[in-house]
Amino acid sequence: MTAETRSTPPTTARTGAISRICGSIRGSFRAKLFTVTAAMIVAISTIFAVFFITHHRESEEEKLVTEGRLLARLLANHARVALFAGNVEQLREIADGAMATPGALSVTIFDRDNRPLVTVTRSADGSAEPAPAQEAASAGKPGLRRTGRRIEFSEPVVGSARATRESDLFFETGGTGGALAPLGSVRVVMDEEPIHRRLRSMIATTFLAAALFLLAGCGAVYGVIRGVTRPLTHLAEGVRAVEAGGSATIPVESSDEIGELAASFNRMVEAVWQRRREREEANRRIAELNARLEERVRERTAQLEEANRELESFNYSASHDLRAPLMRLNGFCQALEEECGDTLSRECRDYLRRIRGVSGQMERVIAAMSTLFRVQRRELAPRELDLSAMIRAIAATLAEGEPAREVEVTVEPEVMVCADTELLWVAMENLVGNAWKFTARTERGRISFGRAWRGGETVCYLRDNGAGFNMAYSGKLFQPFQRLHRPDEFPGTGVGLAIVQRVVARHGGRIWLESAEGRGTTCYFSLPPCPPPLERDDAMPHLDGVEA
Amino acid sequence: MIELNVLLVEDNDDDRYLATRAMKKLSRPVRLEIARDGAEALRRLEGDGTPPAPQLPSLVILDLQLPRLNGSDVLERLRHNPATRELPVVIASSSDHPDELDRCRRLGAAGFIVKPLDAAKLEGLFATLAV
Repeated sequence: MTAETRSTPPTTARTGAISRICGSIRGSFRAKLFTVTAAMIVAISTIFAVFFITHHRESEEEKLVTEGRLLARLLANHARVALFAGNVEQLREIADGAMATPGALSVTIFDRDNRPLVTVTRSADGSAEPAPAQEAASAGKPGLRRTGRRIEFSEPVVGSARATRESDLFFETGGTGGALAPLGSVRVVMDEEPIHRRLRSMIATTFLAAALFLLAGCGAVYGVIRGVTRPLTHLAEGVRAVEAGGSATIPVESSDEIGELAASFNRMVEAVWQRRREREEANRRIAELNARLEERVRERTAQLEEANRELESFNYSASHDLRAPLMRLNGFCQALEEECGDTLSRECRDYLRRIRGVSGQMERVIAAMSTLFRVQRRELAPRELDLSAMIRAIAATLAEGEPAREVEVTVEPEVMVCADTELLWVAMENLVGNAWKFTARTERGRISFGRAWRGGETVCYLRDNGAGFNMAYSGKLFQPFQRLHRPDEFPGTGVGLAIVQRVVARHGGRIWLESAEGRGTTCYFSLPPCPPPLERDDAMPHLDGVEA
Repeated sequence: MIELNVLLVEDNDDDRYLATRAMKKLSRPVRLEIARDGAEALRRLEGDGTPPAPQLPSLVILDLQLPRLNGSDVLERLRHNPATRELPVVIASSSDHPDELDRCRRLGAAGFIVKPLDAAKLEGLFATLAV
């Protein structure tokens, strides 16, 4: 286990290096193309060189063998007479002459009994020299024998068996008639070394040429590859730049497909930027328009608010300024009654009573208007309050005012709302007052207050079984001074519901009425719920956790 | 019963008439002085700055809505003057004017009365103030 672990790292490192190289080749198109091209050049060069060298070597060897065989045959022919005569001197001359052939390493002439008579060997400096005859001829037959880098050629020397003189041999033509008798044999040793030397130098030259070819080929291919990959690199950089949100123009280096690609890319980038500029321009214009619009809205709002304030102020002052003379009128009526009451006729006293009645009506209208304006002007101070308790208190006050009436009041307990106490009191006074008023002619009047689920929210309702009204007129309900009953049926200013509606609206709630003539009215209204109280545990959980 | 010295500050002729009539109807003797606006009232109460200081009334009935200096402004001046700081001032108005009434309450108005004045209202006021 441990040994394996120890032996692992070098292997891993090696594998890692190889895989890195393979990875870079796989990852780079240039490296891939380059590798394939170089491998092809190397393979072609190698095949060519091997074929060429092999062929050359074979032809050279064939040439050497032919030369050797010819030399041996010539030597045998020349040596025939001298051998027949046993003229060693002549044989030596003949052997020396044979040694003039390049490539001949040694020449040996054997006698009939296979004894070497003459041996000439090429010395180290290249000159032929006689050597002592040592070895016996291996065979008297013509043949070829290779030993190391030498080739031995043996050729028998034959003459006619009938020849008795040297001259017989001169005119003899080989093999035309009569038996031949061996006279001896020659052996020529040819050296293959020069061939090998030439081959070696040729191999070296070939390799050099191949290397140069590879270099030149790679150079040329590199140029082509660069022509392909450089625009690709530019394109990739351009795409990255555009991706990062910038702009990029890449050089168009050629008019071929790659150049066309680069030009298309440039056009695309320009189009994208053009579109972006247009969009930014449009956005800027929209923002400008919005800003101008907002400014105008602000201006208009300010103008409206100012106008509203003036109107409210005017209304408020008007209601007050109307009230003062009315009070004076009342005062003078009272003075008239006090001073001259006894002297006035019954009719005049009735006029006086009516004047005071009218004055009272006007006072009530002005008071209602004043309340309406106050409801609109007052700054809200909302807080949590018990609406049920408020309704019960108002109902109790009404009951005290008219102890003779028997009205059943049902109130759902503890309905909590978040509202301005004073405004809500004014509103509920009007609302409960209405219910009280409109049940005046109903036997066993009932008023109930509670909560109900309407329109996706919890709303409050106040229901009575009083006179009710025709829903066809419900659109006029919240307009000030709009009345749905005659004064002799039910008295009132027609401002009450307008006040209630404004109070509810100012709290962000909504209000509507459902009614039918003779069957009572239900008023629904919503008020914002109180925000949940912040508990200490919820507010600071981390601190508690740390302390724990 | 001692005579009550009252200064009425009122700009409206009708209101002055009704107030004067009501004073006459009272069961106790009242000496009524009239000032027709805030400046006149201050001149009467503070004098021209040279001794002797003017004799102060037992009570001032001050209308809230007066031209130029209104009722609450006059009351503020009186409250800042050591000579008139303790003087009982009753605010008279024809209707509720919550902001102004609040201001007067804070400035220490002795009471409030709704116009027009009549004998019953005045009797009640005097009883409450114990003057």
